[in-house]
Amino acid sequence: MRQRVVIAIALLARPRLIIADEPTTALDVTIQSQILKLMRQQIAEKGASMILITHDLAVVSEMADHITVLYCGKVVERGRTRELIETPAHPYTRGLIDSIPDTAHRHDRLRQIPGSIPDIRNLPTGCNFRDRCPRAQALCAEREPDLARQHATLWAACHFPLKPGETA
Amino acid sequence: MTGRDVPMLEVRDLTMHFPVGGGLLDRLRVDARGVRLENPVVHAVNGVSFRIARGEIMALVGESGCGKSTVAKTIARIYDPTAGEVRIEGEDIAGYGFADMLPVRAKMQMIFQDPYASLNPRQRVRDIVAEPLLEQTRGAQERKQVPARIEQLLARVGLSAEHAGRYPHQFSGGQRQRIGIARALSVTPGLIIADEPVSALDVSIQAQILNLMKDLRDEFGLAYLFISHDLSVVHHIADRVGVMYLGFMVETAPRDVLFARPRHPYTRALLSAAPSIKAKRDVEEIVLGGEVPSALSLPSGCCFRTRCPFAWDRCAQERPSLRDVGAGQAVACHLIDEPERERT
Repeated sequence: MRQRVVIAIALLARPRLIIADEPTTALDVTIQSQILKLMRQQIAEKGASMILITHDLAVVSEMADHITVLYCGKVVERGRTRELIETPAHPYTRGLIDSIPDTAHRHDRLRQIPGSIPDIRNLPTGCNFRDRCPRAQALCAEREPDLARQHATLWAACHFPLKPGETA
Repeated sequence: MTGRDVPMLEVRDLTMHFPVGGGLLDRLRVDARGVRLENPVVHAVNGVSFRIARGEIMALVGESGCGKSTVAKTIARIYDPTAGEVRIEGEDIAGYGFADMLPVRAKMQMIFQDPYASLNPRQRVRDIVAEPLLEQTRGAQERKQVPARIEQLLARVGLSAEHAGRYPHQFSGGQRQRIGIARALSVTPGLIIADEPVSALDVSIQAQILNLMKDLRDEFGLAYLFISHDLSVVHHIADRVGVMYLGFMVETAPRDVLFARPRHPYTRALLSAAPSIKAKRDVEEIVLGGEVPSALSLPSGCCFRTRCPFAWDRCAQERPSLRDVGAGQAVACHLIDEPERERT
């Protein structure tokens, strides 16, 4: 109910851009689905744009047209939602997607990203993700990869990106 | 009493009501004619029953305030149940005092949601993990074995020996949860009560902890009572699932049955509301309006009728009990008797 009030406040001035920072993270799923529906409706009706900030890949994949993935303060991948979810090029995005338990295809073990996020005050040389990356090679420690076009709308910052169909 | 057919945990008609207020003046409340008024109570858990076999993972799901955490804390005897039985390997511990609980705690341990708040910031990891084991260990000779055992445990949950001398603040969330798991394992329990153990963790770390918990189950034959609001996590880890709403168990079923054929309207709404990274689904099957009623004054009849799209007059008059519908599934809903109501 409180979040509805906040959405009403945000929409009152008919903004053309709404920035929503984890708008449903504290809510239960049945309430979350009400709020997401309300936001989708309002945006469609008013023709506004939205930046949706969330850690919940399932929520963004239902809401967003485009997704940008951040790691240690840098964009590591961006692209159209279905493309990024179905054929990610960056190993971090792949790892995130694989970590989510899949209710359609259940596996005994989840794929996990080893290790944890590096200390932001003391980042590794080269690629920030290389310590946790299954594809890392010598080059990844030497040079930080730039964001480069992969396939279709997908851009990723990786020296050894995944091709569509590759798993890890 | 500890034969193979005795469940690890059996809960019967567990009820937990919390008085509200409770100050002197609250207790003296009277109506206009001087008759004492009953004090308001929060009906957190209302006659919940289930059992967990050895080595089985049972999940309790439901939204905030549905009573799932209260069930966990009442079984762990952090709360004293208002009524009902809690049997650990057949032994009813519902009325046990602090001293009676000591041997029970060697059979049952708890893992908490907030891995930081549940670790003493002023204790080193080795002392945190050793504490329950030292409580259970008598005799100087036996106590001497404890440090070696702690080292083994830390290694098993993926922490190194050098971690043992550090303090909780020096660890990440995932590592702290590993410490909590090592502490629970220290007394080799048969049952672990895990209250939202991965909810505070990032998704990549969540996968590490879920894998670890599953491996430990296979290795030690542990049973888990796994409390979670996250249906995809529950689908991954649970053998059986219980769905709670407003302090009632509305449905229980083996995992695959529940996810393939949910029967209770609330379970169906919950499943269809859960977002998924899969391609767009069809329209939601059941969309719930409104919010959960207050546990201070429960609706008459069925707890879910105020939000149920199918509710009719019977639902306001008669509280449905949890009834077996085959395939290990039990549902508390009058639609079971009158399925034609759903099609109109």
